[in-house]
Amino acid sequence: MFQDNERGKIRRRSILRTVSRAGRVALLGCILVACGGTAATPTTVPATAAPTATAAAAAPTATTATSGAATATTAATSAPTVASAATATTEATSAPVAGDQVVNMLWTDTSNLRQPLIADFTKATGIKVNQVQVQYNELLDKINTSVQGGGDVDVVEMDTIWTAQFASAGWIDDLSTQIDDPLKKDIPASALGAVTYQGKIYGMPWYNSAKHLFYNAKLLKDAGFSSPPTTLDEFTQQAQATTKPGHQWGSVWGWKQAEGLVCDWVAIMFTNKDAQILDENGKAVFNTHGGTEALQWMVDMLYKYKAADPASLEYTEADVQKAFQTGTYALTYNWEGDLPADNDPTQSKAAPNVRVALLPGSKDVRSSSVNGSEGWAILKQAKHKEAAWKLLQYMASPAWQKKSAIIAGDYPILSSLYSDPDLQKQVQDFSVYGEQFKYLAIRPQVPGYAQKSDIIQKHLHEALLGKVSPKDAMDAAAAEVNNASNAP
Amino acid sequence: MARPAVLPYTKPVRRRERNGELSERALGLILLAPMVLMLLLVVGYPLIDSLWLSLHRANLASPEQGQPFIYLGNYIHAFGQPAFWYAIQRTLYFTVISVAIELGLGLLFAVLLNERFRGNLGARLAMILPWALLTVSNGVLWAWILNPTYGIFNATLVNLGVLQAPKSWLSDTFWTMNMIILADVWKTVPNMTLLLLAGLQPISADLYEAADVDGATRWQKFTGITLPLLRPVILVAVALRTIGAFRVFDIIYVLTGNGGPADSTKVISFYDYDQAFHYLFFGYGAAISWLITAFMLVLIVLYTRLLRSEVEV
Repeated sequence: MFQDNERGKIRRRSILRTVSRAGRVALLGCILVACGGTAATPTTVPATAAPTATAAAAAPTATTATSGAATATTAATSAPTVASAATATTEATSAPVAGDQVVNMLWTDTSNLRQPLIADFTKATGIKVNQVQVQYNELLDKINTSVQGGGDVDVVEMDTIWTAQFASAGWIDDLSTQIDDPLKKDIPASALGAVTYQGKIYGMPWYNSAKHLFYNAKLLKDAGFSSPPTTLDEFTQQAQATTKPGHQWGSVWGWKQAEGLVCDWVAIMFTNKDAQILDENGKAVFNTHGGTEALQWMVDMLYKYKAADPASLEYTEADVQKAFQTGTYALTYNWEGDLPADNDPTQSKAAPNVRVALLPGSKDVRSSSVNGSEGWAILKQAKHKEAAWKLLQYMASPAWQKKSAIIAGDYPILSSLYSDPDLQKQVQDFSVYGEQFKYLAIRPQVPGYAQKSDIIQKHLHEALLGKVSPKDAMDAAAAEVNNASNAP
Repeated sequence: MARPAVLPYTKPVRRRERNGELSERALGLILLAPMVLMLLLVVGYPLIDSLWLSLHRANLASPEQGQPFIYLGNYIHAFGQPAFWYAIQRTLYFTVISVAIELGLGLLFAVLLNERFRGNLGARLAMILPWALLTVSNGVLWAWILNPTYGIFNATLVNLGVLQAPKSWLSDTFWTMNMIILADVWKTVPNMTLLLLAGLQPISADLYEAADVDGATRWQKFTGITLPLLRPVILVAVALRTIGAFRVFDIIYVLTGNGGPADSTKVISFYDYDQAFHYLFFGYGAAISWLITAFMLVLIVLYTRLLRSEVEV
């Protein structure tokens, strides 16, 4: 290896040459390994392998530690949280099956607001909880892959729009007999309806949820309005008055092509008392029952009245919250739970002026919002069903519900808690929340909702971009929804 | 007798090993066996299974329908879907433009970095850095840069007076795809540059000196010497990048979430992902993957044909 000179000594140059050769080989090896995941493999492996690998890689890495700085897209990540997310997923998939002292849950508490509640549960029952956390927009995919891939998840967070799909596909347990009557009586119909399919209860309600009107009281007062709008026309008026081009906007929305867009559209649509999305046979009728008018109002807000920030078209609800916290927007629709952060001076420049009110209605309808209640479901394939049921019971108990309302802004599912004096004192604008539940629109609970919603989102977005007229967009959406078969 | 021009070919006799040692050939096979086995399991089995699945109707959200065998039903359905063809069109747009830009920039950087100048090593390091980013990180980075409220891209353009007000790039059906191309090209040019730089090494300096003697200009040297000699490397690099670009998924997922404003960035991988993972049409999804494979096979065959031609200087 080392060349000797005549006197047999090892020469420095030959050592350097050998070391540099080895170094170059190592570097090349590292580069090849690093780029092995990109274009360098022209094999004929079908592309399902690629999306599976990248989806599985994207989902665990797409968590955030706190919602402090990272928003922009639904997959914000940073180096330290990638490591912790990887440990979280490996923990979840390698949980010991030792006698139901452990349960694996999948949810979206990426801001870690509800961790103290989990700690309370473990203290009360001694059951360890392994959590997998993803952003909401990835939750459905994660549940799909967990069920198909036989993962180790026991309990999953289930949005109201998925109950029908999970139940009809036979993925979740029927809990009708396990939830006792006193509990059923204490839960409002909107929360129970979110987890019911064909008369059977397939999950435990977790929280009531609805969109609310968030307003910056200071900006409205400066423009001369002492109370928030109660109809869509008043909303337009107030938004126009508070729009100062270059400085502030009257309203900001989460109108990226995602489920949030459909939620807003439904909330606006149901200010019309004849609104309907699907008829009894499941055929799309939204284009003739309020959908077109709602879309027209949304388009006008952007282009005619110019009272909505055009950036709304790339914002999700998380982005909307971030934007609202800059204090340069007057009105917005968003889910509950934002208020504590919006009025926290360390996070929000809009503090302490943010208030909540009922969403605007019309002359026929007092207020119109959309039901976003979520529940918890136990997967049929779960290995720790006892512990899972104990977790669900705890989550429906006053202990969890009350504390969650205070620290996370979750609405209790227990009607009795709405008259609780503590909550009324500690949670800002608490009485408003209970009132909104009387005016909730429900998105269709049908299997195949995901596909129908995607179709509607696409057409809504096209109209919002000004590419087609609202009427053409809605008609095309209705036609496509009616054509969308369940299987090719 | 004249010596024959070519020695007669004699088949090598296989020596029997005397003391039970493995012959080289057997040793080779044994060493290869684990890898072959793994390839069969990880690549071969899913391939066959996926092909078989694509011939069935498999809707996992409706298990009561079973999984009937429907011959080429999924493929015929794909050809009838305008969404499928639109996705192919978006994919081709992305592939053609992104590979063209990468090739142009890659050639430029490779030729530049091939020169001797002070700081050449630093320049090479700087050039290769974007490649070290994860695609997901790259996507988030660009999403923040392009954000209308706090992004630096809009801030710069507004300050320079190019824009009147911040523009929402990622909600514009024309610009979103181009911004994704920008983000992807920024990350992948180092790959191309490296390949081309490696291809430039064997070109002897004598050729350039001879051209100088003949009075060739720089451009003539480039088109007469560099490009023809680089042709095989260019073709390989372009072939690899085309296949990679055709399969693009993660940058689009990160930047747009679901195929962009009005489906304008829904490339074929994304369409496949939606069908298979969102709607759980697994049979259809498998069929689409095989169609993607077929498209890429066509491209590979084209490139191989091009590669076979001789190169003369």
